[in-house]
Amino acid sequence: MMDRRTWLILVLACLAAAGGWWLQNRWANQMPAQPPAPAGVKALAIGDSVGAYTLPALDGQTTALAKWRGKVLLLNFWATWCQPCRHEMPMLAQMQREHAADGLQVVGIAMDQPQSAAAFLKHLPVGYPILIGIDADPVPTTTFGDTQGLLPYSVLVGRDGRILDTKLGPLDPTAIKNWMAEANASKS
Amino acid sequence: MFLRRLIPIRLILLAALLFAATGAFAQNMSPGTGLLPVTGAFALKPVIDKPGTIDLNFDIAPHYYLYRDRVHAKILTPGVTAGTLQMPPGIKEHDPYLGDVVIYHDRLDARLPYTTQGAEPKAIQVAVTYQGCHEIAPKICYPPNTQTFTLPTAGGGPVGASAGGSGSGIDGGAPLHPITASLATAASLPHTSNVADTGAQSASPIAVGLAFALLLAFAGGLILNLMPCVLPVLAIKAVGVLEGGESRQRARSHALAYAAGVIATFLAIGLVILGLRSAGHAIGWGTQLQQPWLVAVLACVLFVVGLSMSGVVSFGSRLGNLGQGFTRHGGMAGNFFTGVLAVVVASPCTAPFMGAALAYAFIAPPAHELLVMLVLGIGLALPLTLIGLIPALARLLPKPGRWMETLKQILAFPMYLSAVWLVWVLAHQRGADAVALVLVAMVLLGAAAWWHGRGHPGRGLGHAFTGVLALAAIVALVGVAHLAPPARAAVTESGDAVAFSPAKLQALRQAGTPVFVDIGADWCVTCKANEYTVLDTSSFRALLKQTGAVYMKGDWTDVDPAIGAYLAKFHSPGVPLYVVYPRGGGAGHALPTVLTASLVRSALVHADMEPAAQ
Repeated sequence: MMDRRTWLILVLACLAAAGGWWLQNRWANQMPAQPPAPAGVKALAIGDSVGAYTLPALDGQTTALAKWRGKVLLLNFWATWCQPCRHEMPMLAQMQREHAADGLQVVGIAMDQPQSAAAFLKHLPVGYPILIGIDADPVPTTTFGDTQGLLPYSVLVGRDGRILDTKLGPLDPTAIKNWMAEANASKS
Repeated sequence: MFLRRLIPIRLILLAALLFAATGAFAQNMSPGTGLLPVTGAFALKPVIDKPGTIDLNFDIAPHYYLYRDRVHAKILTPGVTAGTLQMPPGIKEHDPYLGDVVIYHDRLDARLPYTTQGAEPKAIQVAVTYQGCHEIAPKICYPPNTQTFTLPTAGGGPVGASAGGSGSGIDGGAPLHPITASLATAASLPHTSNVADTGAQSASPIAVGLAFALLLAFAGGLILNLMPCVLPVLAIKAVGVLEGGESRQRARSHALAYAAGVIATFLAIGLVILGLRSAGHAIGWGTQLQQPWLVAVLACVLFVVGLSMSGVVSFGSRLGNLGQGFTRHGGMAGNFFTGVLAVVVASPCTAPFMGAALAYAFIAPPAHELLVMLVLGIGLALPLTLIGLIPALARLLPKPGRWMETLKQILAFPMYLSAVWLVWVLAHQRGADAVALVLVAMVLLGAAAWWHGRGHPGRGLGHAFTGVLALAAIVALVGVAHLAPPARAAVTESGDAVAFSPAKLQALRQAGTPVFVDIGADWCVTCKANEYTVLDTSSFRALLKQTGAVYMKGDWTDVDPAIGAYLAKFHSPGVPLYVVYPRGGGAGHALPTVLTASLVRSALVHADMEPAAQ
């Protein structure tokens, strides 16, 4: 039915399709959501353990993220100068209240001066712990994959202390519920 | 007979597969965050235009804004004291926590007055910190960013304390004057081009996705075959295939060589565009026609191709023979260069569908840009390649005969007309001198082709004379490159239109006036068509009066960085670009490139109605 030439055309077209698909995937995967971290700074990726990462709390006390091992940790990077960050914080506080029993722990990381952060929290108490990331070196946003320091930025850490997902831009309740489901599914 | 019936099925299969190939791109298409790097979102260009004031000009990409209270500037040069940073009134917004804040869209032209003790230093170092956000999804804020610039001063005497800049009369697009420009490079300024970063990733949602762009590119490439500038070249090629009576194998390899030539040229153009883009040039389809020497060269190429089609010179066959000299595969090089030539003569043309595909390509990530170029090339190469690959298809074409010679000669005339058009463009760019030079070059080329066509086998002197004539033609073309642009009457500041300037646009918008911006070029056929059908009509003028809109016209016939930056802001691959700004100073939105009277009417009427608040 089909002669050699037809086969040749078919094979070429298939190869072109496969090649294009491969290229696309390659580029989609190679294209990071953000530019790579500067040389010498190790950025954590999905699947990496947040290990013994520490930051000062509002009162200056050094706090290790390992403190919340066994919980689903939602790290939320914010700053007082970031309107979308301030906008989502009441929602995060509410999610914390609603899902505390499921093991959710929201931790805010302020990329701001402690005084500014404290003043804002007096105005809008959120109820979840706040760490100060502004003075840490390397910058915690970079360490957690937000190499341009764009805010708001959130990182989901599973109960085993490994990063499950990241999100640039504001969260919404549905996203957090999906994250909880994902974290609980990976609990195994 | 059976085979012939099979062909359509085969073609359908092939088409389906090609579509499947492009369809595979439909998934997983979000390229990165879609956010600009901070220096692209807020492109800062500081300059000292007159001693005593540093102009800090921010070009803010659409959907980004800067906070007034978070812009700070510090002078680092000892002995130079900064005054108070002066900023124009911006847009007041209420923030639930911070209270009333002032933000800027599109542009911020701030001024930092300074005083010096003693003589003014040769250069002043200034550190500017600013912070802003992206206001549509994903809503994010950039961290405060500090950029340090070393600005050459005009080198004048000491600056008195009274030399503070006045806040009014901001001239936004102030070009660097010659001294400033030359020193600026020496002082290793960080790149401050308004265009450099906008190319990398698009901020505003692009109208087409990759898959759709590839489909458009494919269709555009196919249709390009029929455009008046390309069709004649292809006709010669097709005639060549028919006349040749070649073996199937040879026909196939020739077809593939041709396809390789087309695709390689498109990819080369794609790479050049990438290179220019990363160097911060504003580029677009047709931008190459801003270079007068290139316009002149293209006009000459079209003329010579026309001559060979008219049969005045047997240029083509000799070129083919030349190709044969290069390769034993018989004219492979010749076919490759036919492919190259097809793209070269196609470059001034834009086929339907191509515009949108290119608009996507020029701001897409590099791999996507190259893919679009590749598919354009496949589209252009496909018809002739298929004729070569599938003999049954060639057999469907009419039998070769005397009619082909006639057709060839007829098709020479569109080529001459295309050359006339390019000479007309050149006349606008560089005036009568350029026209004279390009016509001289054409005559010399004609003479060279004629001399060469007479044939002087084995006589070096004869060949040398051909070379001399051709060289003289090239000298004439080089002359075109060295002509200065004539004092252009720019765009006439008649009652109808004002000339485009970013500063004037900013001023009009601050005054709340609706503005219709029209960026065109002489070499842009679509622009001319729109002018003829819509913009040059009395009903358009009446519409402007009725809505109170100002008609602002920019001309991109020649290189103009301010217009280049403006086009980049709207992710326009070239001209035309039409932008309507509503009453009350709101953000502008771009209209389609092909205008209709009703479309323009509804855009202007809406712009007139839109209130100040967005």
